[in-house]
Amino acid sequence: MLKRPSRTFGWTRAMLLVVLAAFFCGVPAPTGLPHQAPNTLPAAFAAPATPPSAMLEPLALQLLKGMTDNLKRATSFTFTATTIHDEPATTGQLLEFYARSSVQVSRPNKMFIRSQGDLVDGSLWYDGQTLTLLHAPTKFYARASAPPKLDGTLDLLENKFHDPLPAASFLYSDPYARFTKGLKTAFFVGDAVVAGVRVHQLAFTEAQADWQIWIRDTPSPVPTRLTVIYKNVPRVGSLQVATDFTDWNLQAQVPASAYHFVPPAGSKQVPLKPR
Amino acid sequence: MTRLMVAVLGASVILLAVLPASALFIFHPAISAAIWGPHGTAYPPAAAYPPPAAYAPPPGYPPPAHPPTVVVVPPVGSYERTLPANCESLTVNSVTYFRCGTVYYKPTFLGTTLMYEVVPNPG
Repeated sequence: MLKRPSRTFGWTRAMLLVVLAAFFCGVPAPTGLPHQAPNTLPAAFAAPATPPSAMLEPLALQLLKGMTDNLKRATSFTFTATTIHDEPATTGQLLEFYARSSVQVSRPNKMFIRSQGDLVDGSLWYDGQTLTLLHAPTKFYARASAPPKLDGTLDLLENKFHDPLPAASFLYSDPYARFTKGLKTAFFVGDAVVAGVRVHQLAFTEAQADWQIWIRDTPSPVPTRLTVIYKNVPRVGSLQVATDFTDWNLQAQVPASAYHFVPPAGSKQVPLKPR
Repeated sequence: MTRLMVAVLGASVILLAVLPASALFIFHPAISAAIWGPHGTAYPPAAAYPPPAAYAPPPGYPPPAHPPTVVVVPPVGSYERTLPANCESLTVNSVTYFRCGTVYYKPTFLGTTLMYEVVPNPG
């Protein structure tokens, strides 16, 4: 007859261990909330429930200024901006549309942008005198006289054409003033590592928009991502525009011909009206 | 007996750990009365309501006619983002237009977006 193997560990001891484990790991919270890991969020989340009317954390402004000063110093620079923006369908549902733009700027008065995406396929030239827009598939283009400086042309695009470029704020001669105008709150969220690069995450709010920016933590700080949530939008309440920035070159050698529009073969000029 | 006691103790601790504290409230007399009725038994269902006979339309009622399709012509001065199908281009006084059926379009940049403005017959 086979002898039953003795269980030296013992059924009783096993149950006791399970009881102890359950006690230490599954202690019920008195409020009934599920047990969660200790709070590892940064101190910024300990902010009071009703913040004062203007709460601007100096560190956030300092990191923002480090980036804008860096861009301000660059006389000729290029970058790629990939944008996903919300647009409401007629049913009210928010749809997302994608666009990729390569931007070339030579301060103080030259700009070239090539954009391709779901709702856009064209180019924009500004050579210090004239603004030219080309629609690539049909080769229709339009021209308008433009202010002598880039700031004025960016204002024209925003105010008269109501088509502000997602990256426009970075292209002004004083980007810091643009970003900090009308700020209500500013704080440093924390550091993150995005695609192997260490970045600072900053959060800001204004009357009409809440925005967050991720800035690369390097001696030459540049933005890697900007997310803007527009508030008080009719019908839908809020809209988001998220832009990822890549391929920054702050010492770009852009030839003057890049900003000079030459009508391509088969192109036709059409009128340009303000929106 | 020891094993049984330990098992009961273990089960109750695990049960306490797993259930949220609010689950304990279902044993409170006031709440259980709300769920199970004042006498602690399931609330008796109302007498079964006989289902209504299938609704039948009055005899001879004709089925609704299929509504005729209506073609909406966009108003002059409005803008479309894309041209409809089957358009042909024409040039009048060196200005490019498109004729799509009976509607004439003129390509125009509205801000930075190319749109097609509905215009009266230019020819």
